[in-house]
Amino acid sequence: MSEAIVSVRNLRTSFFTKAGEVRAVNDVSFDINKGETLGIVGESGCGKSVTSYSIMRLLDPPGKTVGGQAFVDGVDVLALEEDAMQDVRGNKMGMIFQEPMTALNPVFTIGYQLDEQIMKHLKLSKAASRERAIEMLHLVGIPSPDQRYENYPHQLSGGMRQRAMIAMALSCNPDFLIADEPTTALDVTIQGQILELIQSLQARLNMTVQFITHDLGVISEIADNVMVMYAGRTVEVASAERIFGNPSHPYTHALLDSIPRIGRRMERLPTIDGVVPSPLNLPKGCSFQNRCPFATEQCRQERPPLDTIDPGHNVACFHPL
Amino acid sequence: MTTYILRRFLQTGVVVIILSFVTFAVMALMPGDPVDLRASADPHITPEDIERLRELYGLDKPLIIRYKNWAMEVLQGELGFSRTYRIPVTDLIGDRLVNSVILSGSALFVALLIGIPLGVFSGLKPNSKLDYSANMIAFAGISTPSFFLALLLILLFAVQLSWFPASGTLSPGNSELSFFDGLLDRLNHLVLPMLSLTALQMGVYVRYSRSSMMEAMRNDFIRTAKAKGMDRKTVIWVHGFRNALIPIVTIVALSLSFLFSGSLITETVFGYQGIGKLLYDSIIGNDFNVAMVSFMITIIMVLLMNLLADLLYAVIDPRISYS
Repeated sequence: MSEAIVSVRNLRTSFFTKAGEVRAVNDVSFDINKGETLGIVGESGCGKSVTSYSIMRLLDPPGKTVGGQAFVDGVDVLALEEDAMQDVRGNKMGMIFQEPMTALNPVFTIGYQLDEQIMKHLKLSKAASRERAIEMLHLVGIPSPDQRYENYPHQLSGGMRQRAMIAMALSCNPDFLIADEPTTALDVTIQGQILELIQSLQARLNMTVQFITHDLGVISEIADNVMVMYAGRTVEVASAERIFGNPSHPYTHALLDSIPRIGRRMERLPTIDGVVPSPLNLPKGCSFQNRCPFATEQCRQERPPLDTIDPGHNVACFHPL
Repeated sequence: MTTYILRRFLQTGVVVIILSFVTFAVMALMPGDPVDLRASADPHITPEDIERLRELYGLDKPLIIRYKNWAMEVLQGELGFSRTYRIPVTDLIGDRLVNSVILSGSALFVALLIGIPLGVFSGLKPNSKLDYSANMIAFAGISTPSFFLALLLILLFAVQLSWFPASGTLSPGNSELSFFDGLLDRLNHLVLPMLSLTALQMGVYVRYSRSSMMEAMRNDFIRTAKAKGMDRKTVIWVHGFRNALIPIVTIVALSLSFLFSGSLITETVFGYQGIGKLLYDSIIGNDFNVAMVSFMITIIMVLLMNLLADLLYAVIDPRISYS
C-alpha cells in the first residue's frame, strides 16, 4: 500500500450562529493515498462540503475550523499563515466547484483568469503563461483553445465552463484536487464526460482527488475509497467495492437501498424515514438512532466509535450489518 | 453597434420633439402672455394696440401653429430674446451653463471621491463601526432637505464665522482682479453651494457602492479567486470591485445630466448664477424664451446621458453587446 499524501486528523469545524455553535464537521479523519480518489458521500448538510472548504481554508465567518490537522504533502495546511496558504491554494491544491455557471468571473476572459493563477504560482511571463493556459484548455478537451482563451465565460456552455474550471484548477500541477460536486449542476451526458475527463487526467497526472457528491452512481464510477458522512461525522469508510458490496452501517445500507435499479421491480422506492436531525439539537448517542431500524438502548445512550471491522473497513455502529 | 447608436439617436430625437411640445403647451397654460405683461406696465396702451401686438407676435394663432413657429426658429439657431434681460438668450445661457457645470461638476467630483471609497469599504465590512458611520452620514445627507442644509451652512460659515460669502457667484469688480485673485474669489463663492450639493449626492453613492460591493463579494467567483490562491487585494479590487463597478458607472453616467441642468434649489438659495436659478427666474418672470431653452437643455442632456449610460454599460460588462 502506498503512502498517504493527504491526511486529515480530527477535523472540527463549527459555525458560530446566533442560535449557538453548529458543529458542521465533528472529529473527521481520513487518508488519501497518492493517485487515489476518496469519495465523500452524504445528504445535504452532512458536512461533506464544509470538510473540503476547511481543508482549503475557504470558510467565511461565522464558519471556523476549531481543531484538527490536515496534512497535504506532509504540511499541516491548517497551521499555515494566510500568506503561506495563498501559495498553496491553486498551486499544490486545486478545487473545482458545483456551479460552473457562476464560478467564473463574468468580466474577465477565460485566458485572463487562467493567466492570473499561472503567473502567480509558476512565475511565468505573460507569453509563457498564455502558452500554458492554452495547453491546459486543450488538455481538458476544449476545442479551438486559442480562441476560447480570448472568450468570456458567458460565451461558453456549462460543460465547457466546467472544463475551463478544471483547466484552471490543474494549471499549476496540483498534487491534490478537491472536487466539490463538480457534476451536480450539469446534465447527465455532460456529467459523464466531465467524470471521464477527471479520471483520465487523474491517471495521467498521478493526482490525488477528494470527490464530494451526493450521487452514489457517480461515486461508484470514480472512487477508490468511500467515506460516508452523517450529521458532521464519519459513519463508514471502506473501499468502493466493500461499500457497494457489503455496506455495514445501517445508514449506508439505507442510502444504497434508496437508489432505483433497472430490473428491480417494486411498488415504492424505499426511503429513509424521518429527517436529518438539526445540527443544533443532535440526539444523544448515535446521531442516526432516531431513524435507524436497528437502534437499541445502547445506541440511544452512547455514541458508537469508528471501529475497524475488517482491514480498511471502519464503521461507527454498535450493530454493523 | 453603429446601428444601435443611430437608432437610439433617432428615438432620442422623437422624445425631444414630444417633450418640447408638452413643455411649450404647459408654458402656454401659464396666465399672462408677453403682451399682457407689457400692457400692465404701460398705462397709455389701448386695447387696439394690444390686439395689434398680439397679431404682430403671432400670439393670436392656435397653440400648434405657435409651437411650429417657435420650433422652426430654434432649429435655425434663433433662440430669441430674453424679455427680462433684454439680450439674446444665446448670450445669456452660455455663462450660466459654465457656472452650473463648475458647481455641479465639483460637487459630483467630491461626492464620488468620498462616497465611492466610503461605500466600498463599508460594503466589505458590513455592520462594522465604519459601516454604521458611513450609513449614518449617507442617510443624513439623503434626508436633509437641500434648502435647509444650505441655510444652515450660510448661518454657520457665512454669518457666524464669515469664512465664505453667503451668496453670489463672483464679487462685484471681479473682472478687475488678477487671474489668480479672480479664481480665488470664484472658489470662495463656490464652497458653500458645493458642500450643500455634495452632502446631498454623496449619500446616494455611499449606498450604491456599499450594496454593489456587498453583492459582488457574495458571488461564487470570489470563492474561485480565493481558491486560486489570489491575495486579498486581488480578490477585492480585481475580482470584487471590477464587478461592483458595473452598477456604479451606470448611476454616475445617469447623474451627469445634472451637470447641465444645474440645481434649482441650491442655486436659488445661494443666489448662484447657474442655469437652475436662470430657469427659476425665467419662470417667475414669465421669460418664455429663456425658460424654454433651459428646459430643452435639461431634456436633451438627460436623454443623452441615458444613452451614454447604456453605451458605457456595454463597455464595462462584456455580457452586454448591442450588435
